[in-house]
Amino acid sequence: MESDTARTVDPLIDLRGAGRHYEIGGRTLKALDEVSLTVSAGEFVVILGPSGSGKTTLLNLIGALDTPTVGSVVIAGEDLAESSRADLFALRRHRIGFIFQTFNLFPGLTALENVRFGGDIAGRSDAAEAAMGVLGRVGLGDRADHFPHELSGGEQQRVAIARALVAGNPVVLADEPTGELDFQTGVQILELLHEVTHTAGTAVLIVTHNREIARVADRIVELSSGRIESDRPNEPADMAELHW
Amino acid sequence: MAIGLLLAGGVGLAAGLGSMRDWRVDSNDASFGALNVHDLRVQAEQGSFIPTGALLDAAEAIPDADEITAASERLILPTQITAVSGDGRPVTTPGQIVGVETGPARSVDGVEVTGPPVDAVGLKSGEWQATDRPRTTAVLDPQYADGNGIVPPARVELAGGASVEVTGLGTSPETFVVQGPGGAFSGESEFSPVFVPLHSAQRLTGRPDRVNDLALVLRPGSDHAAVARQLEREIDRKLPGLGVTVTDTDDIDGYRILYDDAENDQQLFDVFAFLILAGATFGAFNLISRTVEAQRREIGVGMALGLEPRRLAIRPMLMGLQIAVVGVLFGVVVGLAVNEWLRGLLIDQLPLPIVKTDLRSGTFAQRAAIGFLIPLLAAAWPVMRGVRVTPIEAIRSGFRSSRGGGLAPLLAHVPLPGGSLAQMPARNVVRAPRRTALTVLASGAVVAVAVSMSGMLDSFQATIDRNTEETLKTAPERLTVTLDRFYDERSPTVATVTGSDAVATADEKLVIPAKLRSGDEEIEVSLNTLPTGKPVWTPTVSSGHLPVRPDEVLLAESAASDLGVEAGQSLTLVHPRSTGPGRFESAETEVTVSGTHPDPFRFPVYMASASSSVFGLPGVVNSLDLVPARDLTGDAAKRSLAGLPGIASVESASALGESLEQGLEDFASIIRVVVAIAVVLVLLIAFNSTAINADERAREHATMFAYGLPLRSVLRLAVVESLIMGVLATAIGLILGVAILGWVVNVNLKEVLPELGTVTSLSSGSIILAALAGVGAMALAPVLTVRRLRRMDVPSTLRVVE
Repeated sequence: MESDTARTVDPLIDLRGAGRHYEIGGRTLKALDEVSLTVSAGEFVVILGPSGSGKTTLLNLIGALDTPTVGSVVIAGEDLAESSRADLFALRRHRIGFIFQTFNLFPGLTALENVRFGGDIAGRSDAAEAAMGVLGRVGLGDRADHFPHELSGGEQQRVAIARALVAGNPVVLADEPTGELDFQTGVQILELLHEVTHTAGTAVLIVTHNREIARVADRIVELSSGRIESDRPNEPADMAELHW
Repeated sequence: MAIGLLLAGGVGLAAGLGSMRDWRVDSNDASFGALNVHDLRVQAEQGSFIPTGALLDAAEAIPDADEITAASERLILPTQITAVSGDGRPVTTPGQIVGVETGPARSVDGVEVTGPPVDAVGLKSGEWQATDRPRTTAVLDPQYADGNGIVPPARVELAGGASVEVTGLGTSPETFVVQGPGGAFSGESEFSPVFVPLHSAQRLTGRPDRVNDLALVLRPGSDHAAVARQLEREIDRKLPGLGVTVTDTDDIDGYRILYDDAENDQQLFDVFAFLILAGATFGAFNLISRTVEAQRREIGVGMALGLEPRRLAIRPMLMGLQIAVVGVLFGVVVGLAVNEWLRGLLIDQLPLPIVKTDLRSGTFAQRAAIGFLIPLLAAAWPVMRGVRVTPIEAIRSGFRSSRGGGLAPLLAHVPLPGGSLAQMPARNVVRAPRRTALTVLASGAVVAVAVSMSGMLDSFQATIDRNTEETLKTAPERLTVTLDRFYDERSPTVATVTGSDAVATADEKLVIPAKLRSGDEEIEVSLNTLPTGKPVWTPTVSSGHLPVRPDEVLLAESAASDLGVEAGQSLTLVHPRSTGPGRFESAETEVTVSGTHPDPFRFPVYMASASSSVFGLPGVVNSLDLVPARDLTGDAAKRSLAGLPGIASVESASALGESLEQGLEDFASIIRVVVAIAVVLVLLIAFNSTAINADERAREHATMFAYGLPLRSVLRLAVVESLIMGVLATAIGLILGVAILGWVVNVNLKEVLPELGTVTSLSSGSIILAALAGVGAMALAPVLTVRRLRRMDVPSTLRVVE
C-alpha cells in the first residue's frame, strides 16, 4: 500500500527552517519563524504552546493546508514547496489524517459512512469493510448506523479518529482533540491515539495548550512566539495519573 | 442584494402585470364611449332587406320612442377584398361592406370620429370625406391594412368587380375585434370591414334603397329589454314576415371579448404574478431565515450578555428591512419596465382607437406593500426562533454541526449505490426538510408559471393543428366560396363557379347562422349542409353517424359537451326560415344529434342536404366547397375565382386556423418574456440557495478539502444535491403547471373563447424548457460558487466554529 511505502520514509515529517510570514500593514508578522523539526513513524508528539504561539500554523504546514514562506517542509518525502495544488490534495488523501477539536463529522452520514469517507477518498477498494473494522477498534461497532447527532461528544470524536485512521495514512494530525470533551472521555481518546501510534506505527502529532495532555507524549515540542522553545523526549505518564 | 433582486423580480412582475385590467377597462370605456356604441341593434335575418327608413319608422312608432336618443340604418353584407400590398403582393381576403350614414367629423379624446351617430367610425389615419361619384371613398380596418401592407390612398376591389378608394383607416365599436366568417377570433389581416357611405353600399351591392340593420342608442337608465320587445312587436306589425333579431351591447362579440378578456386575462396574470411572488416569497423567506440563523451564535452571545430579545431582534430585522427596501425599490423599477413593455404591447395590439395606460400608482403601492412585508415577516420568524434558544445552546461550539440530521435517517434505510460520497447529496437534501421544501416550492412555483404559459401556447397550437387536420384531411387545397346571396343550385351563377377552369370539383351547400339550445344552454353555430354523393369533403365522425334525415345534426364534440347531449338525443335548433324572396323569420325546430365530429372549433354543425327545406330554402345554396384545378395553387384559384359574379369571398378551408395561428404570434411574445423572467428567477433562487448552502456547509467543505477531496469532487456533490432539488422543483412545477393549464383551458378560455374548444396540450419542448429552467438552473447554480470554494481559507474555516 502507498501508505506503507510512505511509512518507510524517514523522517516522515521534516521541516527545515520553515516559517510562515504575513505582510500586514507594511509590517511582517512571523506566525512561525524558521522552525526545524523531524518526526518519525511511531512517534507520539505533542506540540505545546499558548494561544498565538504558532502551533496551529505549524500544524497547517505539516498538514499541507498551507505552504511555508521560508524554508522547506517535506512530508513523507514530498517537498511541499515543489508540489502543485493537485499534489497537495493527493498528499493529504494518501499521507495524512486529520482530527479536529469540533469533530467535523458530516451530519447527513452515519458513523460508519463518516468513517468510510476517509477510506473512500483515499481510494481504498475495501473502504466499507475497513471502516467497520476501525469503528470496532474504537469501540463503536454497535453504533455504526447512528448519526452524529445521536452520539455523545466522545463517541463523535472516536468516529473522527476512526475516519482519520481508516485510510492507513502514516501521519495523523490532531488539533486540540480533547478540547470539547470531558476529562474522562478525553483520556479515552488519548489512550486510543496512543495505541494507534504504537500498534500501527503512525506518527501522531497533537496540538494543544493543555500541559496535562503533553504528559502522555513520547516527545514534547514547546512553541512560543512562533519559535521552538524546547524539543525534548518524554517518558509517557500513566493515563490514570492525568487530571484536568 | 441577491435576495432583494429576487423579491424585486416577483414584486415587479406582480405590479407590472397588475395594471392590465384597469388599463384595458379604461381603454374599452373610452373607445366604446367615444364612438357611441349602440345599446340595441336590429338585424334582419340573413338575406332579408328592407326599404331605407322602414326600420327607423318602426322605431319611432314604439311607445318608448322618446327613450331613443340616436338611431342609424345600415346595410351590411359580405364581400371579397382584392388589393395590392405596398410591396406588390396580391391580397385576396373575405370582408364585409358596411354601408353607414355619413356626417361631420369631430374630435373625441384625440381621435377623429366620423360616420354615423351610432357606432361611429374612429379614424386612426387618413380621412373620410364621404363622397360617392365619381369615386367611392372607404375606410379599412387599420390592423388589416397594416397586416397586408395597404397604405391609403389605395384602390381596393370588392366582390362583383366594383372598386373603392381607401382614404382612411379606422374602426367602429363592432369591429374593434374583427369578426370574420369564423367568428370572433379571425385574424385581423384575414378579414376587414369596408366602411362606405350607405348609398354607395346600396349601389355597390345592387340593393338600391335597401338596408338590413338598425343601430340605436337609448337614454341612460332606460329599460333595454322593454324597448327591444316593443321594437320586435312594431317591426312585426309594420313589416310582417320579416324576421329580425334584436340584440344589445353585450351581444357584440368584440364588446364581450374585450371586457371579459380584460377580466379573465387579469385573473390569469394574477395567478402567474401570485406564483412568481410566491416563488420569490418562499425564496426570500428561506434565504433570510438561513442568513438570520447563521447569526444565531451572535444572538446567543447577546443573550448571554443580558440583552433583551427585543434589542437582539433589531439587527436581523434591520437586515430584513434592507432587503425589503432593495426589493421594493428594484421591484418598482422592474414593475415600471414591465409596465412600459406592456404599454407598448397594448398600444400596438389592442384594437381600440383610444388606449389609456396611465401609471396605476395604487396597484404599485399595493404590490410594493406586499413586497415590503415579506422580508420583514421572513426575518421575524427565524429571529423569534433564535431568541427562544437558551444562550448556552446558541453559543456552544459545534451547535450547528451536531444538530439533528433531519430526515436523513430515513434515507439511511435506502442505501444508494456507491460509497459515502454517493450518499451525501441525497442525505443533505433531506437533512433540512423545511429549507429544502421552501427552496423546492419557490423554484417549483416559478417553474409552474413557465410550464403553464408554454402549455397555453402548446394548447392553442394543438387546437389549430387539430382543426387544420380535420378541415384539410382529404383535400389540402380545399377552398370555401361564399356567395353574395342565396342562389338556386342550378342557377347560372353557381354553374359559372363550378364550371370554372380554376375548379376541379365543387359541392354546393347552405351555410346558415343558427343557435342550438338544450335546457338552459344555448350556443351559436354555423350550419352547413352536406352534399349527397361523393363530396369534396365530409367531416370525420367521432361518434354516431353522419346526418341522414333532415332533422339530424352532427355537432362538434365540444358543442355536444357544452350542451350536455350525445348521439340520439334531441335539442332545439333556432334558425332563420325563408318566408318569401328576401324575407326570413326566426323559427325553432327539434333536431336529433346524429353524432359528433372532432373539430375543436365548437361552431361547425352539419346537416343533410335535404335539411335545406327546414330553412325554407330547398334547392338553394350560398356557399361552395371546391378543389382547385390540378395545375393551380390555392392562391391562384382564389384570384381566378374572385372576379366571378356572385362571389362574395374565396378563402382556404383552413383560413380560420391560419389566421388564429397568426394571432398566436403576438400572444407568444408576451408568454416568452414571462417565461424568460421565470427562468431568471429560478436561477436567482437557485444561486441564492446555493450561495447560502456554501456558507453553511463551509466547515464540511473545508473538512473535505483537508482530507484531500479535490474541488471538482466537492463541486460535483453540490451540483448533484442541487440537481435533486431541481428535479423535485421541476416535478412540482410540472404538476402545478399542468393543473394551472387545465384551469386556463377548461375554465378561463372556456369563458372567453367558448367557440374555440381549446385542447389541453403540453409539448415535449415545453417540458424540456421546464426541465432546463428547473433542473438546469438549479444544477448550474453551484458552479457559480466555484470562486468562493477555490478561495476558501481551509485552516481558518476548520477552526471557526460558526
